[in-house]
Amino acid sequence: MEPEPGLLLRCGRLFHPQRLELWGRADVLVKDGTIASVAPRIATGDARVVDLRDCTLLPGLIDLDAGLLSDQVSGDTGMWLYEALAASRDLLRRGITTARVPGGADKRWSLLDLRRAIAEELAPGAELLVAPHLLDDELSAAQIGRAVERERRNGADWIAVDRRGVTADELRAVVDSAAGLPVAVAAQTAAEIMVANDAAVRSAEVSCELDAGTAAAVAKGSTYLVPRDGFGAPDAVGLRLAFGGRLTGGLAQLAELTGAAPALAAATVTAAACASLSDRGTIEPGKRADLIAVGGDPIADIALLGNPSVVIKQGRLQR
Amino acid sequence: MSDTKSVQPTIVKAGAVFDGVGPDLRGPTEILVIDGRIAEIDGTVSRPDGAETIDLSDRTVSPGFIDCHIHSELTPTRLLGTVHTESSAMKSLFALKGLKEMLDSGFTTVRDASGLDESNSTVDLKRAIDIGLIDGPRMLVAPHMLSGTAGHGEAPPLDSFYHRPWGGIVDGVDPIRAKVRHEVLIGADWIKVSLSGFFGFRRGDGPEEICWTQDELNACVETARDYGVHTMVHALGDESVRRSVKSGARSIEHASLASAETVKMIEDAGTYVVPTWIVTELFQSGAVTDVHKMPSGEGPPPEMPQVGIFLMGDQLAETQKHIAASDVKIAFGSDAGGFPHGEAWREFVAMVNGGISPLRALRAGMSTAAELLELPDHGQLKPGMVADIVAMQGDPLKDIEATGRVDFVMKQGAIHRRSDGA
Repeated sequence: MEPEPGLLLRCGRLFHPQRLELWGRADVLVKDGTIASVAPRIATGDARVVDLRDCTLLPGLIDLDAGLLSDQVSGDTGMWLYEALAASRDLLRRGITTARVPGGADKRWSLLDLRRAIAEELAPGAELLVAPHLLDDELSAAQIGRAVERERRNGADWIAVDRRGVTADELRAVVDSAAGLPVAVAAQTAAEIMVANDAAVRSAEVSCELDAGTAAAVAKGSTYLVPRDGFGAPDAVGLRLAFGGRLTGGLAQLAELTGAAPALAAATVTAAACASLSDRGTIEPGKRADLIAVGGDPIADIALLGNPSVVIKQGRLQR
Repeated sequence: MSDTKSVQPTIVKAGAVFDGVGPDLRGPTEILVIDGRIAEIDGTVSRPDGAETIDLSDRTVSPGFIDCHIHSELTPTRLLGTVHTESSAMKSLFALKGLKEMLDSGFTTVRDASGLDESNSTVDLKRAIDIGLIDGPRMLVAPHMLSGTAGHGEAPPLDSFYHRPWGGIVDGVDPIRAKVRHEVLIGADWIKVSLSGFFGFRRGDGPEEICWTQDELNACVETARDYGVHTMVHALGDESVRRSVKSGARSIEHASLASAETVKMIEDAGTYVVPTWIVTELFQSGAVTDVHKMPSGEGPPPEMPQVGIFLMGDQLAETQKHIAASDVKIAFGSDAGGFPHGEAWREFVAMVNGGISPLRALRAGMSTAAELLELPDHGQLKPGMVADIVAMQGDPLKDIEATGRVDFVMKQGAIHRRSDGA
């Protein structure tokens, strides 16, 4: 990354994702891709000033359930490659600076290629965290271990599992073979959520209603839930909810369930924790300068998140 | 954004204009752009409602540059290192950076003189640009480098995970005809043949070594023509250049060692030459091989071409003189990819250093290139033309290096890059 003169963001408000509240006027100094300091007033020095006095600054959003590749992918190259890149560029424009892609239909390793293209700045886009393939019902139980191993050796960030009727023992074996890589499991029934929770997988992408018993059990466990359409819970308190972009209504849909501020936390600090990204998710010195600014109060109007006025990825202004 | 066609009319106020043909620079001129085309160009133009005015009164404005010989998938830091070691997808993704650099630096149209993969990846790149998924110049594509066994189109002999040919080895009249038809089927705008080798990379790849007979080349050119597609032939040594002229190929790439007599033959036949002198110069200076040594030790082998180029330095200079002194139709081609794509404009400078007048060099990258590529509504600034417009500081007729100072780029009426303060 080329060194650049710092950016001094003069902000009307900051969103504090742990406290779930907005803080008043603050300056944020960004240097070398990192947040250097946060204070009520910072001297300009040689930094370039960005006037965000009418805006709220938030951590860059993290989408843990981004679908970049359509199911019709075939062949080595093709238009789908550029469609996926354009999708990743559009995520960034909407303020999503990090996106986890839990498996593609492509039999090759194109998601890893896309991740690399963005990391090497061949094209703009959200930073990708990739499970190269979805380990689904096409694999026999006996093939799963090998498949996990292959994903890991080829450079997976995540292992993604989507099998109906999967057992806790099978998932424990996946977690073992993953050798430290986090495991994401698609869960369509309360029973599948319980199994994921029992196996202590890192995340479950959930598309069903949780009953009170399941919710209570998950709250006691360690698995993060990434809601999909169809998700519901009797009481969200105590669940570790992280945002995923497969909700057709986006963050606003999550906010209907949790309230706006917790939904913002789900897309920042909680998503970062789920993905073990200790370098992002909050606005603090030392964190990566993945930041977005929206005009107005996002807690009062969460729809503002759809159209950020400023997006900064690793210290660089994207728009 | 460059991926959205500007719907509002635009008025470009130029301090001076080179219209792609010349011979002179015009003074202050206004250009009215509507729906991606030049509607009016005059001292003052009409003022439609809602028109945006771009003040380039301290710039020289010209048609977008046209590069008739690039390799988008060839990355200067890796050269042919990616052929076997990268996936097909990755080779295409590497191209994105260079294509954007070319558009940023003023090239609004390029002809890709072959990709590095057996898939039709450069055709996909072209389509992705056309529909706005990625940023880049308009592309015309010769998908694969066709040559005979042992010819220049043989991939480097490396062994690796992605062991796959890059799609162009073919011998014999009938297989050549079938291959050409297949290129047309997958979307070829051009057929690319490497008839001679390069600079002694290995056995079979020398400048005087020739991979196809006259019959084979003729079959290729004729078959392509039956589909309305032209052939571009990489030919360095004199005999290969002569064979190319005889075949009726539309352009000869490099023509590096053509004799005076052969240059006359090219002139008489009306064949275009794309000299690519900058890449020769960079190989000669060792810049290519030095720059591209990878930290990992990858990159070109030490016996790479500059050895041959050094030995032939005098002959190369001789041919440059013949071409500069001739009336051969010269079209601009940089061979970018062998060096960073953002530096392709240096071919303008290399042409002038080689004895070609600045006027002829500029035409080569504008109106003459458009003629070669049969793009009748490109390469000139006049009403009806596609609005590919760039602006630079200085007068390129007096200082050819002005072509390296492009800071405004409009492609088909959409502003891709704005000058500071404009």
